[in-house]
Amino acid sequence: MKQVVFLLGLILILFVQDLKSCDLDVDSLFNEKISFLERKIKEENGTYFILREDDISFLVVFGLLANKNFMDWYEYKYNPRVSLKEINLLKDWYYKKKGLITCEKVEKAYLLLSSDYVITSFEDYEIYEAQLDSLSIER
Amino acid sequence: MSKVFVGNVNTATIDIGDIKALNGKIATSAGALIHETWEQYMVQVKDIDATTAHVKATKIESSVIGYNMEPFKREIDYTNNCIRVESGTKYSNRKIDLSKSNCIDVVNFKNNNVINVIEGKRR
Repeated sequence: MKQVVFLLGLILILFVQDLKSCDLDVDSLFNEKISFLERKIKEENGTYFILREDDISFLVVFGLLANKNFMDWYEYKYNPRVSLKEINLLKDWYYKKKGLITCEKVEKAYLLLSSDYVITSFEDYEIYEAQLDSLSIER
Repeated sequence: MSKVFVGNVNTATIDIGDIKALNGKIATSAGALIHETWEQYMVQVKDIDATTAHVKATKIESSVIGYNMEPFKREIDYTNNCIRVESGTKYSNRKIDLSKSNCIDVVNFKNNNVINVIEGKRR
């Protein structure tokens, strides 16, 4: 009996630790980034060429979750820019789907974008693609 | 000379001259060709958005050239007319080679209204 209780306790501890494994505050991240981008768009008279890498990553991460583009690729791939049109689209989507956007999904999307996600073969690419597809909330 | 810079998925075009000019370790002709082809396939056949297509195309390019890359770590520098393409880990035969990892290729281009890659090199 003691062993069963011990095992149940261990499982509970592991479960709680798993729940706490993602400590990213998605709402704070979203509000902070959106405020910054809206301010920059206003300062730049309607179109902001995104300079910071983490701002690009933020828009790409939410683009992956939504299966949508939230940037305009001026001179394709090298100079992404954003206007209130894209920001409003992102905000609309975010508030509609907020309940489905989990911390784990956002963290995983960031990981998949970084070079810390290492592939060493084409077979790894296939696993990578499946993981990327699993992020989409729209489908 | 063309207005397409390596490739443009929105117009389904590639500039084969730009691709031929990429002779670096990370920015390579073969890598760029499969990148542009895979990206177009994703958009045209799989019906996915251009950003996700670029993310996937970067990884397929990585699996061909043996360097892990981040999809948006390609900084354009209009002052020096170049793009820095950065890599993460290098691998071969399913093994990571740290001695050859974390490299930068500098791709120079001309910028007289049209952009063309003229050189790729290892730093």
